[in-house]
Amino acid sequence: MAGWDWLTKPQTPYNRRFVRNVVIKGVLLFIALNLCYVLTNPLPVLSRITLYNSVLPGRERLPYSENPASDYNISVQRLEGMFASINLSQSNKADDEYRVFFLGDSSVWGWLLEEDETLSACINRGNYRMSDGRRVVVYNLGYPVTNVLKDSMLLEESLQYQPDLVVWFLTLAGFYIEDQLKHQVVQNNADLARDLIERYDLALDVNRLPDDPNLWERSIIGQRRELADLLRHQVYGMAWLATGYDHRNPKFHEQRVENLLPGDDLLGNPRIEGGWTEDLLSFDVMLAGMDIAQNHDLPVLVVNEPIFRTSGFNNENRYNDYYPKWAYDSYRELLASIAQRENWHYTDLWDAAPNDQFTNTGLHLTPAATCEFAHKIVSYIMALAEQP
Amino acid sequence: MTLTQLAVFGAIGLGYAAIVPGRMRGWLLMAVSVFAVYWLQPAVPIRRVDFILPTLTLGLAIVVWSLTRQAKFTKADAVALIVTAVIVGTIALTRYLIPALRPTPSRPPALVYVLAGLGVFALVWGAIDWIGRTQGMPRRIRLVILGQVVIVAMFIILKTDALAELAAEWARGVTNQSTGLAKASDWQWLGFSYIAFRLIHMLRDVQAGRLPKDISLREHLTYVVFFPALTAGPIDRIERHIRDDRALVGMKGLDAPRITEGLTRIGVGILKKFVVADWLALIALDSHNADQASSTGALWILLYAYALRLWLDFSGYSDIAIGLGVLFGIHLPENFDRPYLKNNLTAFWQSWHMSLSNWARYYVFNPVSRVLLRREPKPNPNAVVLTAHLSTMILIGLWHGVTVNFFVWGLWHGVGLFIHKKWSDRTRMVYMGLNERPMVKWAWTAAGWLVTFHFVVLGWVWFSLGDFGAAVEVLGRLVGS
Repeated sequence: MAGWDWLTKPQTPYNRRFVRNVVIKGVLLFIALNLCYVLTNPLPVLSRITLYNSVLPGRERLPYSENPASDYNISVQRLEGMFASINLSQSNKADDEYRVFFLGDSSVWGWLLEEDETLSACINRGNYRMSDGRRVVVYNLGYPVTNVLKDSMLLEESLQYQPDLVVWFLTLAGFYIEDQLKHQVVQNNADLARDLIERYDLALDVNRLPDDPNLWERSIIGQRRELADLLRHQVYGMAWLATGYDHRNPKFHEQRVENLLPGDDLLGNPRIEGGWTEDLLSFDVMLAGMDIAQNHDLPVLVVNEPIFRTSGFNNENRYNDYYPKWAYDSYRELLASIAQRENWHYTDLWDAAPNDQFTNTGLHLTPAATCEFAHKIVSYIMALAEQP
Repeated sequence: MTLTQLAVFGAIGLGYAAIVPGRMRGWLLMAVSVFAVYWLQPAVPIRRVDFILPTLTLGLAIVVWSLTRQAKFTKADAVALIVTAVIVGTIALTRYLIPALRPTPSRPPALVYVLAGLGVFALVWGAIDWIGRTQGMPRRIRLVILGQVVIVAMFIILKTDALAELAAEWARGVTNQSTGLAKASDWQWLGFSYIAFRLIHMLRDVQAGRLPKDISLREHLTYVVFFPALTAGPIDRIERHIRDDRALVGMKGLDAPRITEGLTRIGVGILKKFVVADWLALIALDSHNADQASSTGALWILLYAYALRLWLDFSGYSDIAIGLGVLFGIHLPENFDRPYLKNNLTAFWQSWHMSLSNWARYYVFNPVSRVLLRREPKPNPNAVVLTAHLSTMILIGLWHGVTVNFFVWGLWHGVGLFIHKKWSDRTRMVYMGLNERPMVKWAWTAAGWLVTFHFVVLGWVWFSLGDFGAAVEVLGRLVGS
């Protein structure tokens, strides 16, 4: 057949020597390519090479997915790749742009919300301008996990993108010491996490991070999953562009728990008499993040985000199924006192959302309440931005 | 076929000609093919069915061989029968091994049931063989026709969701499983669509007196269940297949051209199917994303992705099958020849799934045309052409599944082929006159390609969406309504 003549009717007939040479050259080339890959460690650079912001528009929020096929999205785990795929340009910051980064957990990322219903999307739709005419443009750097180490790492990476202000949304669950190193983003960026821990002498055990990858793990074969994910992330971009869906919200989801079980334990752990102290939570990690920002003259607005406060059974002991009152109240007091001590721009909006507007957990809000909360945040941003 | 299975078959193909003596190669090919019927069979939720279906495949193949046998039953045929029974029995015995060592997706039935089944099969086969040998040609032809009816009936049951679901309910009842969970997809019979067409080809040809008279059971079994072509074709012809099979004796052990050609085709196939097609699948049109597409342009992107994916997936699989075949010394027919570059629909169908369209042309289009043309009074030639095109293309559509959408897809192409025939009849002289005006001829050809490509691509909407209403809606949105 004409299409295969190049193979079936070669100009020089194939012989054993030809086959042997092809095999030897193929094997050598494969080994050489893997060795080059190991020596140059190109994954961080490759993670930045993307169709987003060129062929495709940048995504509205950091890529995260539990079901790539229906989300048209994938959880890219390297920070370089995460940043490269969102609608954030390293070089083209407009002269009239006041660039604000939102850091936080799933409530900032927008769990159960479409990409145009998140806090950042609501503010951007409002087209807010400062008195000098600059537009307030908010970028969503939230990621669906409560973890201040992850936030600090994102904050450090984000400095390359010329922020004017960072708004850091916090909740108690982000400060649990034992959870800081568990998350995939931290595990997959162990080099960055280790560097941060060692630089700031954080009270976290670096031995719980993955070891430096060995030769095999640094080869193309060893990193085939990461490489395939990077490529799949580009392909899913087409489907996202065609449909506008970056996360498929479930048709049905569990409702927030109103009636709580008896007791005042925190995730099965007993009450700490006297409440939290600074060393029992990862405030050192947050202080490191704040220090990084300060070293770059970057103002940070710290926000204690709203939580659901039940009026159902056992409300005398607990706010919700996450937080017993003793734990949350002492966290709030501690955060406020540290903010005062460190002279942070801090606002406590823990009760700023109506109770009936929480969806599946004590942290996630409906689209309407999210927007309402977003507009509250704007007033703080404007106040801070207008400060001389 | 998974990449692991492909690697195993490839390794056997690379070495077997060098190790196995010439006269044994055909036997090894048969043994590997019989084994592969079980090994490649996907898991089926109905208990033991993933063992029963491959066994039925082999039983059906042996029965059809008996019906089409025109030579004496030889010692070699007896050996083929015994080798097949031993392989089936050995696979059944793997029920006593750990799951990782079993070739079947689930535990095979107890040996006593397998032996009983083989016994019943031997009785049925013996009776059919006896009728075939002793009761004269008319009875034998009746059996041959009955064989075709049975295969077509099985085909219809498996391809019709409602009937397949009923059959699944019955099978679940027999195996004491919940009948409420019965689904048409319970019947994942590996390669049955292809096997059925190979068997019908043999039965039709023996009926018409065209079948070679000296096909051994080994050759026949290898042809029907030849493992590279088991999952997704191509549909070979027996006379071509046995020509290659008989040449295996003299095949060189380590033959550089054969190995180069085989491995290259496999490599190209892997790249097309497992790399490009699987990525395109992420954005290819389906009922889920068709609903979500935010604009007409977006819908076209999804549809183009589907069209490319379908071609790369299927032609990639054909490349792998052809490459494996070459390694084993069997040259399977080509299935695709750059179909999306053709500038008319007839040329498209001469280059898309060629082995199926050739089969349909041979066993549907030509006979239907012949029958209609022989009628008195002579029918309108246009009616003959239209009827032949429609019956052929609708059959090809229904071969994929007995659904409204596949029917409409067949209709779409049947009408398209008829229109193209009329168009080319009328414009042939004009086209030939363009030889002296190359630019105009080029523009004519380019326009032909554009129209053909988009006609085919729009036809895939029927193919990709399961629901008629959804397909109509998507077609409407594609043209901006």
